[in-house]
Amino acid sequence: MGEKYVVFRVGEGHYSIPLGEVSQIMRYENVRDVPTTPSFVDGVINVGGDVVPIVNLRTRFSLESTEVSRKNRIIIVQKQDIRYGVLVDSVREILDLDQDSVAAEAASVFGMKPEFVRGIAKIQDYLLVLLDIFKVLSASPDIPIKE
Amino acid sequence: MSFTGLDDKKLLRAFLEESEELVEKLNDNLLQLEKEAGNADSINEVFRLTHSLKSESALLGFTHLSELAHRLEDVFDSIRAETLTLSRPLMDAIFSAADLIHEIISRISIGQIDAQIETRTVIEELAQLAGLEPGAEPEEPSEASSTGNDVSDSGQVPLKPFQRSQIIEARERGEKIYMLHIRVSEEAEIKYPRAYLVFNNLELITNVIQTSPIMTIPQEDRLYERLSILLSSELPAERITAACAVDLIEEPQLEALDQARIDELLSSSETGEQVTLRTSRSGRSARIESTSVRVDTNKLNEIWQLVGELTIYKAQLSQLHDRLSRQRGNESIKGEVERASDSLERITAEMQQAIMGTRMVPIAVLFNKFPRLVRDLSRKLGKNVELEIHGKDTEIDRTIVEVLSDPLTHIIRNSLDHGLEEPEERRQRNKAEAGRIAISAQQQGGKIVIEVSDDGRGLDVGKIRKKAGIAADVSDEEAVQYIFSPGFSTKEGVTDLSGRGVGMDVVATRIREDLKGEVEVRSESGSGTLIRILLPLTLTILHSLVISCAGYYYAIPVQDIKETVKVSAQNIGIEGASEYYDYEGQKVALLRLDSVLFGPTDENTPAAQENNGVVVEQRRGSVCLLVDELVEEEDLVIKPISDLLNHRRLFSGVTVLGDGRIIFILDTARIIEIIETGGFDGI
Repeated sequence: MGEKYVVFRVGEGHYSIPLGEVSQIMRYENVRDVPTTPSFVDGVINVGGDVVPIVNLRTRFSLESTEVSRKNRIIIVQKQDIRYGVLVDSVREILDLDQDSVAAEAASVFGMKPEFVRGIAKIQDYLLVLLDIFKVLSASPDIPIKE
Repeated sequence: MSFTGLDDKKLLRAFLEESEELVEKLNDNLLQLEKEAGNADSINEVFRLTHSLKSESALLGFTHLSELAHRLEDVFDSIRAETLTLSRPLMDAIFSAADLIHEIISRISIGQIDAQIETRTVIEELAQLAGLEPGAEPEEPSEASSTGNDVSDSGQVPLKPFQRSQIIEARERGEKIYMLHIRVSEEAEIKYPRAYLVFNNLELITNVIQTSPIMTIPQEDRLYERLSILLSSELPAERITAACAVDLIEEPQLEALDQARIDELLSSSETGEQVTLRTSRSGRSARIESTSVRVDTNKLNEIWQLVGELTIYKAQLSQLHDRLSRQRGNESIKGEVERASDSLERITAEMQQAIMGTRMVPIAVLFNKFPRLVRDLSRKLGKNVELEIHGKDTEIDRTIVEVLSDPLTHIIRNSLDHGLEEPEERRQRNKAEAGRIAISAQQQGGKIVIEVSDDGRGLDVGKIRKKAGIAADVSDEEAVQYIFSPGFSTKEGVTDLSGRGVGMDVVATRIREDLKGEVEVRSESGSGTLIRILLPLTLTILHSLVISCAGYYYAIPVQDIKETVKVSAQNIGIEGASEYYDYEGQKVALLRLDSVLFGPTDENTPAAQENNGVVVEQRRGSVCLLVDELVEEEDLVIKPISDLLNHRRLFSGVTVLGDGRIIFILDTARIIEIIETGGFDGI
């Protein structure tokens, strides 16, 4: 049995994080602007009384920013007490991934730095990057995620 | 049972509430007595407390608890009469009894009955040390007593040996023996409580030897139509009859017994010890549902989150209502929406308050157990210790209390065991023979600060350096922090430090990892050790002043604020690169909040003639913050803040109001620290 992954798109790439790390998937709504944050923090949303920062993965991956559309989703992940919202272009599917189909060597795909990648999987017509989302979120703001 | 007409649940609830307070008072007074054995106020207070506990628990049918309280009452009666002095072993037995009472009450509060706890050992120990006769087994309702089979021709129930000796003793004290008969009016639907009031009144001023029917366990209600009470007293007869002045009590008849009657009574007493097997009485007390339940804190958290979400939808609804009211027509619907929205708002606010209440507890719930801990330990170790406790009212999240209990206990234990010297050593060092331990709690700059200090020998830095292999260029202050490093106490030979720091690594791990707090130690050789614990406010309410700055909202904890002031251009001076505010002749650093948050602006002159200033004060110093507007004071629920929103660590938390406004809580201690260390360049 494989593990379930949430597959989402950012720019041209397909990325995924384990479903177990995801607490909620929301539409882009009620995002509030906050002062003095890194450029990739779009603002905050209120999730059950918690103030959750929204990290725009497009900006974080140094991609050109686009207008927010109906397709955009915020994936809420939680580590210890702190929840984060991850803004992605769209959520594509939830996938059962067999460990056998995952290549552990973190080859550089889409210019991702290897330390943020857990592995790569070949899915039918695309390459899937298994993201270490908490490393991405906790990396110092001036460290780029892509080379 | 026959007095079901009374609201059992209400009675039980009242009983539990009262007895909780009672147990606390009991402990306080006992501790006081231990310091000063002859303190008459405390002796009387303990007597009063045990007396009311005895009566109230009997009224609810908790006979074991009642008997235990009765024994304590007897002991303190003798102490009051100066026929008994408080010895140390007796004090210990009294404390055990107080503990047992506490235990029984907590069992009752979770729906158990008091008979499930063994009380006899403690009672016997008490009786033996106090030189009193052990009381009879709690009188269980038996066929015999309720059908009256044992009643002799004279209508007299035979005396038990204990009651017999009570009569003899009373005679020796020169008291008179009385028989009192009362009748409860037929108008009283339930007789027992009426009869009980009289019984209770008499108990307070006389020595009640026997009642028929028995009062300590409610019998069939109709039996209480007539009550006979055998008592001894030195009081005039009028005083005794006056005690019967209770509504619906009729024809009190008081008869002073002559020698012949007394002899008759004494001869009719039971010859053998009456042994009743105590069977656990299923029923009555267990049937009464308890008013408090234990709830998994995770469930509370869940409710808390849901209420949080509810507030958001409440805000949405009121916005919808605003929009609706700007449109024409649908007047009746508008009115209904408004009412619904208002009700929802009120209920949500109340719910929030209620849930908040379940989460926050005064730290007293934790601190209150330390006087006993310190007492017991100091007795065991033969050390004399004075304990000071400050800041008991500091409110703290329930979950923190639960995790904090063990580490804090360990720290105190360490102070007592290893920090404080033996009395002999203290004398040689010209220290007061009694060691001092102080525990305190307070909220400071968005954190809870808990300190435990002692005036003992301090940590042995040399040994710590040697054990941990600390380089010579590390200062002593830093070196002592090594007691918190993982694995320190398990290092070989560290037990030789005789515990100076043993287990502190475990304490630190719990505080740092489980509570996300900090712990530090300061120690001075020969004069003492201070352990400071800083806990984040994972979920804590702070009364705060909400202010605005450049279109965003911030809050400053009211406890950090010295004053809010109007700052005009004339009050502002310049010293070097910084501005200061002339605050009552004193120079206070002036900080424009917008520059702090968004970087220095060109415009340094206040735009308006009058600007809003908030003077905040911390241990390190004061600063006057210039803000745009003072908005309101609010009780804010502080949530932890992500580093992504706080990379300069200017905030101690964040919160969201019902209307969706995001508010950042300013960490004023950090802001002052940055100024002191020359941060905020060019401001």
